[in-house]
Amino acid sequence: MADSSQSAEAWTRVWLDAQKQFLGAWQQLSPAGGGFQTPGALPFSAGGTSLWGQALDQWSRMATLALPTETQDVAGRLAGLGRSYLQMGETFWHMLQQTQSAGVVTDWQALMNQGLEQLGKASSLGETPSDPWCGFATLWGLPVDTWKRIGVSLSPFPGELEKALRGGGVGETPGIPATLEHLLGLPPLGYTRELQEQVQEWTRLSLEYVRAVQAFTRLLAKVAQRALELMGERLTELSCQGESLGGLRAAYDLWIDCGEAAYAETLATPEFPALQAELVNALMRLKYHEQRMVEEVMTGLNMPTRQELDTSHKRVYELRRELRDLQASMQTMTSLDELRDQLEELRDKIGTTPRRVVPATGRSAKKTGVTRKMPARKKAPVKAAGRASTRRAKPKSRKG
Amino acid sequence: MIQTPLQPQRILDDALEFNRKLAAGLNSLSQLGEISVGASPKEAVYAEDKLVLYRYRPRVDRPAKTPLLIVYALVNRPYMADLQEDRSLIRGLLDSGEDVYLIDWGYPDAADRFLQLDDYINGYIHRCVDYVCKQHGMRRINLLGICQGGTFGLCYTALHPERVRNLITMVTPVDFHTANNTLGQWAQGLDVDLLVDTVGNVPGELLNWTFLSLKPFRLTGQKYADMADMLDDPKKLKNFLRMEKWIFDSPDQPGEVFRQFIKYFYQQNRLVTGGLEIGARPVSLQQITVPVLNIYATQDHLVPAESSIALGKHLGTSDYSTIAFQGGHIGIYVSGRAQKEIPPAIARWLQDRSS
Repeated sequence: MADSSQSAEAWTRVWLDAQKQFLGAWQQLSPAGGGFQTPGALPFSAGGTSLWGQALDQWSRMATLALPTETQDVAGRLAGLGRSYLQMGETFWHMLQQTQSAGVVTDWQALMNQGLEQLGKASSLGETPSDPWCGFATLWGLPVDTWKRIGVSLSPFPGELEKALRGGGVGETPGIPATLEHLLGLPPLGYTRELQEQVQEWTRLSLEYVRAVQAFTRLLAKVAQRALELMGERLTELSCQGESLGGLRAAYDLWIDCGEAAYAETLATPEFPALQAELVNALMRLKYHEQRMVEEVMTGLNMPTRQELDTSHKRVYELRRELRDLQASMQTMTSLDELRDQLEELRDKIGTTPRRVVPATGRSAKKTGVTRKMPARKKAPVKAAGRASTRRAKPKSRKG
Repeated sequence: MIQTPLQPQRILDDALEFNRKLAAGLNSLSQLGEISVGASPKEAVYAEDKLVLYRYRPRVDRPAKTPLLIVYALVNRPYMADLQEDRSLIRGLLDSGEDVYLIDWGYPDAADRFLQLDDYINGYIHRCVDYVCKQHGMRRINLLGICQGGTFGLCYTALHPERVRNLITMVTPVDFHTANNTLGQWAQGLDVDLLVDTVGNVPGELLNWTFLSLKPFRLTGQKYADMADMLDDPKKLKNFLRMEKWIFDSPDQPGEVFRQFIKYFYQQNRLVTGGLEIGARPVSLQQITVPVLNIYATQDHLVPAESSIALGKHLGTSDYSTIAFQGGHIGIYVSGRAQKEIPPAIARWLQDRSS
């Protein structure tokens, strides 16, 4: 505890020192520091890359290691949010800088629209069409990013293989899927015919999955575009009314509101559930096929497989159910025996015992539980129904 | 200068303030220690497979004569009902004089894959009810079902009316096909047979992804921006992290029971439209003739209020009450207002029906 605390303090100092440098550079460019004189010369950007974001990434990666395991994940999420948050700050800063640089009054709305458009491009598939995980998803931390981790964790093949297929093999060269489709149509031949068939099927299912991911990501990219439109409309409204939104936090909250509103619009379309379901179904088809392939290899190596384990688990489960049913039957029989004994005792007490006609057969009947159990089972529901109807007869006001 | 809705100096200030908080937060996170959950003392009184039945230590001298058994959902963990001292539905119930039991389903593994609804409802729940009944020398007890546990509670009561004296459902889905039931709509196109045949038990992470997808901007972004504001307050930070722990503490779902629940309830809506059978026995809400209290949250994004409210139209009982809580699916357990409103209301409703 003491170690992690000291280590965290050290990392905090490193980060705060870095912040001081950024602060100095930023303040020189702020209106208060006589700034906005040199458009484009953002202290936190170089060649289109966010230095601040990079610094935050590097710092957070190292710093979170100093934390107890339990809080590392949360710290990682926080750092991820920080990156998006500051990226947004940089974008707005850049827009404002252009608006007010060199004392020239520029059309705010035109620049804002231009800035939002740029933000939209950077956050959509347009920038890196080969990788649906890039841009929008990584910038705003939307479900695709989480899905990426799930997809990889559910696949028996390493994540890099999946990524290679998705990014390098399919998306970057639009002609490849058609070529692959053509190759997949060729009939397998020779000694390895079955294996070829399996690999062909795996490739076909992989392509299906890639298409499902791309379709879903494109839909989410539309959400981001629509969110930016809504945000632009809201900022224009405020601008026209001469009102101020405030700082970065207010802008971020506005983005969230617009994002949820845009997302809700998309959720209401039939397209969303269909594409989302296909995303899951396509992954399952692929994984199911992969499992069969792996099982075949494992069987060849005389290793236990998932299917064998499932069979064993199912048999154990079924045996347990049978055992419970038997126990329940025996309990019912025992209860009936007890009831019969009590009844006989009562009859003895009130002197009706001599009227029993078949004491000898009664004894043998006890042994053959089936004949004695059946009538009693039939009677049970009648009793329950009788109770229920009595209760319902009571007048009660219905409050709901 | 032209009027813009954004103020440059404030953008700068906010960005720097955020970084300051982030840096300071690292210290706070490193000093927090263990994030504990579960505030009220309890004792394990019965166990079976992964299931553990707990009895909470009563907090009044003479607790209610009829015990209250809480049936939680299979999704997430039941400590949400007893997260911390000042955010605990269970503590509130204990303070109101209830004698509280709770079923903890545990973390199912591959050996539990073939468990069905029948095993949960006619098996586990029934044996827990039996245990509690025997301990208290009673034939019937009170049942409180939470979320999916409420749906289980409804099925159980319909199948075993002789064992339930009063039934309470909290944020419980009943009609899975209401217009605003997003999860219900998403489930329609899901090939649940393929899913279960492929993954066996359904990973908790897949469910997390589904729930986060309901409000992705708020739940994957804004929530952590809010967290940054509480980084310098250890108490608030611990509260946040407890909640965070609960949200991502998602047990895998036993495959067969997941298959049945998605098919029968989410896809086919059998609880409302009819045709539901559990363990080869028909289940109808008309079979429920005991008093029912239905508590729902008006801003619930997981179980829309309309889905719960539908219960009133289908029950067989003539003693039906509702409480509309002004809040969400989580707030109903942990918000300050919930602590003041929900447990006393439950206790009062039970007391009125104790004679």
